[in-house]
Amino acid sequence: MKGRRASLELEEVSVLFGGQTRALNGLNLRVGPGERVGFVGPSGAGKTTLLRLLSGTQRPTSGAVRFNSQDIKQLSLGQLREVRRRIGTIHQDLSLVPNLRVLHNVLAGRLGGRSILGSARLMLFPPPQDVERVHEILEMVGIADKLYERTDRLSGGQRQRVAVARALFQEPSVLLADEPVSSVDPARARETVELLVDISQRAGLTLCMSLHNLELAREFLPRLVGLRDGVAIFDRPTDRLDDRDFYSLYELENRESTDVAPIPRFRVV
Amino acid sequence: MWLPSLASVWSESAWLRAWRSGIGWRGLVIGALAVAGLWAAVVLDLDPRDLVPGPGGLAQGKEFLSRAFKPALTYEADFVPEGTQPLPFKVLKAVRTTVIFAAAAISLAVLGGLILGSLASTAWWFEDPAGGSTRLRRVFLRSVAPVVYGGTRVLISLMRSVHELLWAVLFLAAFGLSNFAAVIAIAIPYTGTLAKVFAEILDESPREAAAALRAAGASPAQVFLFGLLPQALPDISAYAFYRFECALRSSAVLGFFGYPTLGYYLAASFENLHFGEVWTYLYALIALVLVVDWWSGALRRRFVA
Repeated sequence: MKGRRASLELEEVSVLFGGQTRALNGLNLRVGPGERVGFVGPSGAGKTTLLRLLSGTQRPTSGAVRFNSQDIKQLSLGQLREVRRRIGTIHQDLSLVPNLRVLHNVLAGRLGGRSILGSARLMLFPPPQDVERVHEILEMVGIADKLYERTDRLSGGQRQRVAVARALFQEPSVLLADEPVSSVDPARARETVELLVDISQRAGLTLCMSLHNLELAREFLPRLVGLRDGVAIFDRPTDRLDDRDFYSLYELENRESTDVAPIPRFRVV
Repeated sequence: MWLPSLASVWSESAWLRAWRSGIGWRGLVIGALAVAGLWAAVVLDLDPRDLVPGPGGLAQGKEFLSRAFKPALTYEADFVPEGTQPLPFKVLKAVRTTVIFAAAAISLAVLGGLILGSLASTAWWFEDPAGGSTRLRRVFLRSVAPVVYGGTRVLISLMRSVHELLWAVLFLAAFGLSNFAAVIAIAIPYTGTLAKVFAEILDESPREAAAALRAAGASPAQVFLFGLLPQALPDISAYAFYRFECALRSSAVLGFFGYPTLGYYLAASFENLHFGEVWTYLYALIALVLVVDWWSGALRRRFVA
C-alpha cells in the first residue's frame, strides 16, 4: 500500500442540527499522519458527527475542518471528491449494496475520480489486476473464498469484512471506522479492531475509530478522545488515562449538577 | 345575549365530544365515500333489474358460455375458401403478432421509463451535506433541479392520463393503419406509468450504500448508477415484466382497430357468432399471459432469491 500520509484537524468546530440541536460544541482536534486515535463516550456524544466531519461529508456549522492543512469548506466539489477518495470509511451500518457480489461492492470503493465509462468498465468488466487486488485484500481480511458470493448471503461478521475490504481497496491515506464492532460478537469484535489497527500500522494510515467497547479501545488505540455532549472531556495518550477518567465520561449525575461541579473541558490542539 | 353564546358553546362541545369519541378523519372519509356511492347510484339511475337479460340474450349467453368447454379447433364457418390455413396456425400467427407489438412497445417504454423515472426521482437530486459550497451547485439545486423534476413529473402525468386506445385512435387518424403508430400508441402511456413507478422505487431504495460511495469520492452519476440503481433493479425489472403482461393485453385489444393481433380475429369471430373460435383466441391470450407470468417469476427467483 502506498505511504501517502495525511493529517486531519478540527478547529473550534461546532455542528448544529436543525438550527438548535448541538451535536458538537467548539471541538478542537489534531490527528497527525499515521496516528491511531479512538473516540469513546456515551451514545449521542457526537462520535458519528465527528467522523462525518473528518470524512468530509458533514459541513461544520462553525469552525474549520482541515485535511492536510486545507480547509474543506474552501474546496470545490471536485477537490472535495479528491479529498474523499483519500479517506476510507467503514460505516456503522456497513452501507453495502446487498444484492451485488462481494467483488462489486469492493470494486465500488475505487469509483472516485473515474469517468462514467471508466467506472462502468471497472464494475461490469473489471480488469484482471483489479480482481486480483480485491482477492488479495479479501485474503487479508479472511474471506477470500467469498469473492463471487452475493453480499446479502454473508453473515454479519463477513459483511463487515466486505466493508473493510472496500475501504482498503480505495487505497486511502486515512481510515475512519464508526463503531466497527457494534454488529458482531465479542470474539469477532476483537479480531476486527486488531485487524484495522494492524493494517493501519503497517500501511502508515491515519486511523480514527469510534468504539463503545472501552476495553478494546484501551488495549489497541494509543490515543483516546472522550466525547460527551459534543465536548471533548479528555484527549490523551491511553497510558495516561485511568478508570476515573472513564468514570467521569459515563457518569450520569454530572448532567444535572454541571453548575456545581462543571465537567472539566480539555482543549488540546 | 346569553342564548346564542350558550348555543355556540353547546354545539362546539357536542362536536368536540363526537370527534373525540371516534368519528375522526377515518369516520369522515368512510362516511363521505358512502354518500358519494349512494349519490352516484341515484344519478346513474342504477337498477339491479337491468342485469336480468331478455330471452334472446339469455339463449346467446348460454351458448357462448357452453362453448367455453368446447373451443374450436377448426373454422366454424360453413364455407372455408380453398387454401385457408388451419385455425391453430392462424391463432399462433395472431399470438406472434400480439407478442411482437407488445415487445416493441415495452422495449421503448422501459428505455423511456428509466430515463424519465430517473429524472423524476428525488434520489437523483439529493443534496451533498458538505458540498453545497460552490455557487453553481447551489443554483443548480435551488432552481434547475426542481424545474427538471417538476417538468418531468408533468410530462409523465400527461403521457399516463391518455389511455393507449385513445392514443391509437389519435395515431390512426394521423398516420392510418401503420405498425409504428400502434407501437407508439402503447409505448407512450406505458412510458408514463413505468417512469412514475420507477421513480417511486428509486426513491424508496435504501440510500446508505449511495452515501458511502459519495463519501469515498464518487460523483453523483456514479453514486446513482452503482449505489442506488442496483438495489432498485429487482423491483424495476419485476414491474417491467408485469407491464409487459399488460402490454400483451393492450396489443391484443388494438386488434379491434384492425391490427392483425388477437383482438382482430376475436372481434371477427364474435361478430359471426363463432363462439368456439372466440374461446380459442381467449385461451390463447390467457396462455400467453400465464407463460409470461411464469417466465418473469423464474427470472425473479434467479435474481432476487
